[in-house]
Amino acid sequence: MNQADSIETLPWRERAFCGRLSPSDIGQEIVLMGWVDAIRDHGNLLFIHLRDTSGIVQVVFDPQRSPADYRKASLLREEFVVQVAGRVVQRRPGTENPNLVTGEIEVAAGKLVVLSEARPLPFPISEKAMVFGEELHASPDKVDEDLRLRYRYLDIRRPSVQEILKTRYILLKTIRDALHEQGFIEVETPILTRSTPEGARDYLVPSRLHRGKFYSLPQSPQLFKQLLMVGGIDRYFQIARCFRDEDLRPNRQPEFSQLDLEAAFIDETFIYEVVEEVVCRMFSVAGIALRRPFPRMTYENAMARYGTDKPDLRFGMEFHDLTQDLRSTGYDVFQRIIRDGGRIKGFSVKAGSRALSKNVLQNDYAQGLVPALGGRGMTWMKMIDGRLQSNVAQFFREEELHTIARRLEAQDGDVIVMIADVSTPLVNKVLCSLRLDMARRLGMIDQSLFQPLWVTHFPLFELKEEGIGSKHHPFTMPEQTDFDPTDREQLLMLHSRAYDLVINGEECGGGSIRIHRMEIQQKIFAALGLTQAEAETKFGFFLKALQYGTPPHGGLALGIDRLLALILGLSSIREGIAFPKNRSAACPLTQAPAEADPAQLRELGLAGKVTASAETTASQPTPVAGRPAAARGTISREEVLHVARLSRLQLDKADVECFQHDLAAVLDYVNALAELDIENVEPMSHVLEIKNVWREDVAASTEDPSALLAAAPESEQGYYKVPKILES
Amino acid sequence: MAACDLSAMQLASLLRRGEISARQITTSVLERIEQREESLNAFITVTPEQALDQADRADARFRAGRPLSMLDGIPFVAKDNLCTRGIKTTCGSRILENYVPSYDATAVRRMLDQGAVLVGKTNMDEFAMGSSTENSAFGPTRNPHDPQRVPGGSSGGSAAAVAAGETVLALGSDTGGSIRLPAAFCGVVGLKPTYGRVSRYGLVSYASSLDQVGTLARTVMDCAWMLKAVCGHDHRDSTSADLPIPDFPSTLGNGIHGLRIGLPHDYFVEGLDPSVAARIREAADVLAECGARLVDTRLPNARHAISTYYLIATAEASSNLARYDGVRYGLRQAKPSGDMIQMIQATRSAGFGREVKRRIMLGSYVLSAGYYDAYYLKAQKVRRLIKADFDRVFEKVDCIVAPASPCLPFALGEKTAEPLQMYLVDVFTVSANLVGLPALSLNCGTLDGLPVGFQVMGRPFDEETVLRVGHVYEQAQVESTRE
Repeated sequence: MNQADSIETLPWRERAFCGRLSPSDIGQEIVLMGWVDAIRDHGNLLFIHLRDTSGIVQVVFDPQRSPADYRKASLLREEFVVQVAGRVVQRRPGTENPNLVTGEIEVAAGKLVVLSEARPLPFPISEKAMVFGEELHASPDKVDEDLRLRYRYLDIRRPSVQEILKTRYILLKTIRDALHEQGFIEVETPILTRSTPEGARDYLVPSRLHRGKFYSLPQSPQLFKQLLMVGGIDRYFQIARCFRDEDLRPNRQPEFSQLDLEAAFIDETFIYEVVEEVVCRMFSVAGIALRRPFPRMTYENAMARYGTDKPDLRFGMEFHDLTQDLRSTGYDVFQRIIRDGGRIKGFSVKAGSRALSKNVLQNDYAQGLVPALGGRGMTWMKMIDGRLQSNVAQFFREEELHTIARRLEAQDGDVIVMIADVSTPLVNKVLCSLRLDMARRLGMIDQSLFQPLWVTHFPLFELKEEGIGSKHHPFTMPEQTDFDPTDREQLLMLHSRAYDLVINGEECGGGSIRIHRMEIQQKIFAALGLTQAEAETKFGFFLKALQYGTPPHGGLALGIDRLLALILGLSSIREGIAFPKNRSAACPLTQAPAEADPAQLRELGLAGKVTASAETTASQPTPVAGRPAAARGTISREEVLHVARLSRLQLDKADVECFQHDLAAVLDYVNALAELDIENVEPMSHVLEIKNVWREDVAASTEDPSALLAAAPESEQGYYKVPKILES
Repeated sequence: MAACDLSAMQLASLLRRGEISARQITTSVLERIEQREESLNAFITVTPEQALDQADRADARFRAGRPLSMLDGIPFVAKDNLCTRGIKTTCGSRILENYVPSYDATAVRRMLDQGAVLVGKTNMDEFAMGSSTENSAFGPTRNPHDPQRVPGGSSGGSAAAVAAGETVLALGSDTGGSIRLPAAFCGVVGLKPTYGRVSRYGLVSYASSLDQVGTLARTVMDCAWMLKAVCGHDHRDSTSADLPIPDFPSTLGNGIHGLRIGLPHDYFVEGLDPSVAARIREAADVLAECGARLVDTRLPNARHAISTYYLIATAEASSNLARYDGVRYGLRQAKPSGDMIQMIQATRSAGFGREVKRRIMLGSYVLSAGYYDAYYLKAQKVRRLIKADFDRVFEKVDCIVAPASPCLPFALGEKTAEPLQMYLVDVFTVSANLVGLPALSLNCGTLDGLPVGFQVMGRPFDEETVLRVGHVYEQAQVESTRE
């Protein structure tokens, strides 16, 4: 045998694809290659579902036709990889399988070659029953997600997962096509860059060549895309991978993809038009038509009417302000709140009377959701026979009830809900949650509807703990530029030229027109309380670029993972990513993140620093992702001495130092509990339910006092003897 | 093989056939103590005269054809935090160095009532606070498999004594793994029963909501007999459960066909020595071959167990150990001119070792004004989350197989410098205490000549399943060595 003969050659030129076979191929001799999806042995005939990337076809092995191949086929197991030659034939009447696209035909098998074998599967992969009308034995959807992710390569074999990944590819291609047509070009920006203004949640990459220095992974290509505008790239876009070391949240990934785009010599309307075009074409991939232009709503309007800057417009239940109408109400709860400068808002739930019983309103909402959000109460009434009725209706004057009903457009069968509080943001927050929760409960949300919305005119600044901060980022263009950077009141009134794209109450993207003139940028920094020197160290290179002739420009970023999930109705964004991280920001497949090789750490100059903390985390079962590498908590000498006094212990100097260190180390470790949301968890002091134990009150012999006293360090005449207790 | 190396059930059948006497057994144990004790230091007190006296009485019962039970004439030891009437009970502490209780702990009493022969009190971490038995005021115990290494703790003396043939059976206590860890490190079987299964009367309190008396032996069968002897309601312990007592030994042979065994994904993560992990997976595979079905399970809050445990245990300890004031028993240190407070402080400062002080301090800190909500209350809430994890898992599985320790027995002194490192050794065991579950620790082979242990955790009060799984595994191992 010569060398060439021993190489496994495959009939890839002749290969047919399972899912593409049709009755028009009947009579053809073909070769298929793929995985054994399912097996059914009839004793005299053996059926398999053969699966490749295009779909599934049934293959029949008949001992009459080829006894050797039939015997070989009887050894097949799920997910073996095989090559089968055979002839396409019509199925016998009554044995068709409408579950399969190829259900009218089957392949009468000839030669069978097993290309590779598979170990028993950790979970079922097959999604198609072999007999029409038969249930699958086990649904892969019930498999634990981490197990699926650990064997993601098997999970991906499932046609439903392949479909998602193919759609993702089509969507990305659609984006590229649409933007290409508009004259955009895709430019790649660096992954290894320097820490950005949002710095705190950056992933850092140690530099081997520059010891002690770090690159950081971009949270967005913000500064680079603006530099591209300075560089004269008129219309830029990128399907950009971004990284954010955020605290764990169910629908967040440490790395995610966004459509990042930026254009020069344009204003907001250009961005709206381009993005609407792109988004509409993306949705049309799934056969969903969106109406253009997308409606727009100012931030103030959204907050007033829906209590949120990302309202879900698939249903109504708009809020109305009742503060003026109830100015002189006799209901003293409201009266007090109005007197203290508070606000009363409400909405009506159309035909809500039946689903929202008094019990539900009282227990689930007034005493459930509302206090959980910090609200102090909820007032509700029902419209019955043209009158608002409830147990508090008596406190309102007749005309007030009329006004409320009219203002909230209440009709018979409606429920109206009112929230009053001195804090307007709290009123909005509570009403917003009530609106969503009630709409879901009443099934008022049409799941087939997609309602996009531009939210505009955001505040430029917001009040943060440490002072004034940018609502978006400091490069956002204000609507007016003639402001005084020292006038706090005025600053908080300013609006920005920022916009968010919201679909069905989810923020899908956002952007802004950027500042292109240095003097405006400097005013913003001044307003933020940033000195020239600080601005220089933070983004000096960028500020320098701004001074070399920057065109007016603006852009936007769209979350691709989220849009994909929305378009395909996926239960989580992880479903749309080939190799996602799990909810704990870890990868069960590769076990990333993992400890580094000490030699590698040494080479990076990290050995000394990391081993200290690596030792503490090494034996921890799962490193807590997103936990800030904050400095160790410290405990002062005074605290140690105070606790020693409480513990009735005298400590010498060495003890104090030792305990200072030990207590800090333990408390630092237990601070990981902070990641848990335990607000509504009842404390558990005992594994058994605590109950009083009663026993019969009967006289019994007690311990002999002299036996007890025998253990005493000092006693006298049948008593324990102790030093004086009273101070002299 | 010496008598002291046989299992209790082997000895019980030899006794019944008249092929050995209780005195011979006890003598064999005492001789072994003579040989090994100098290097092991597993005992704080050995009671040879009482033991031989009890053995002779057992022999008299056998001669009369009226043994009290299967444990009649079988030697046992009690951890030195279980009160023994007339025998020093030190808790491994200077503060109780000369304390002689006037009563027996219920578990000890019940063993004695069955005819078992008490040969001594075993070494332990002071007040059961430790994972290596290095915190004893009377010197560390050493691991019989390698005297340079620790036996685990805090019931290290009990486990080492069983492993070395210095006893046949042992009582211990388990607050965060104090039976299961030493059992794993010494290659013996250790059972922490459900909280409430065994009376805590006469067990010196460390953390009352977590403490539980349990058993150590060389076989699961021996553990089952011991559990049967010591468990059950006791009016002296209001937390002891008033439930019917299953006949644990008789259900051991029922097999595990179709039993669903959970493998908690969250335990097989970094921090667990990979070679230890591999051993435990092999053990799980053995159980699968015996007919059990392995189910992947999640205990997402497992990683918070250590934090939760050390907050709750130290808080309870700071309160429980307030009783050591030098007034009624134990050590007293006082200046003639001093007052009561001075005496209490001087007594406690001289009587407690550093780890005990550390835990009292930590407990006082987390209970102190301003920190209660941030630490103790939070830990109590997380404790409920951890319990909810297990409740959920036990809807789908009948028991859980898990590692007993993240590492192999470590060298003496290796983890004493950083207390946190020592605490982390308990990472796989504390959950059973927080949730009150029964958990069995047993050996699954050796690595570099050192024993590797694993745990079987069950539903509350379902010791039967846990023991059954352990027994099936043990039998399968015996089979495979025969082959």
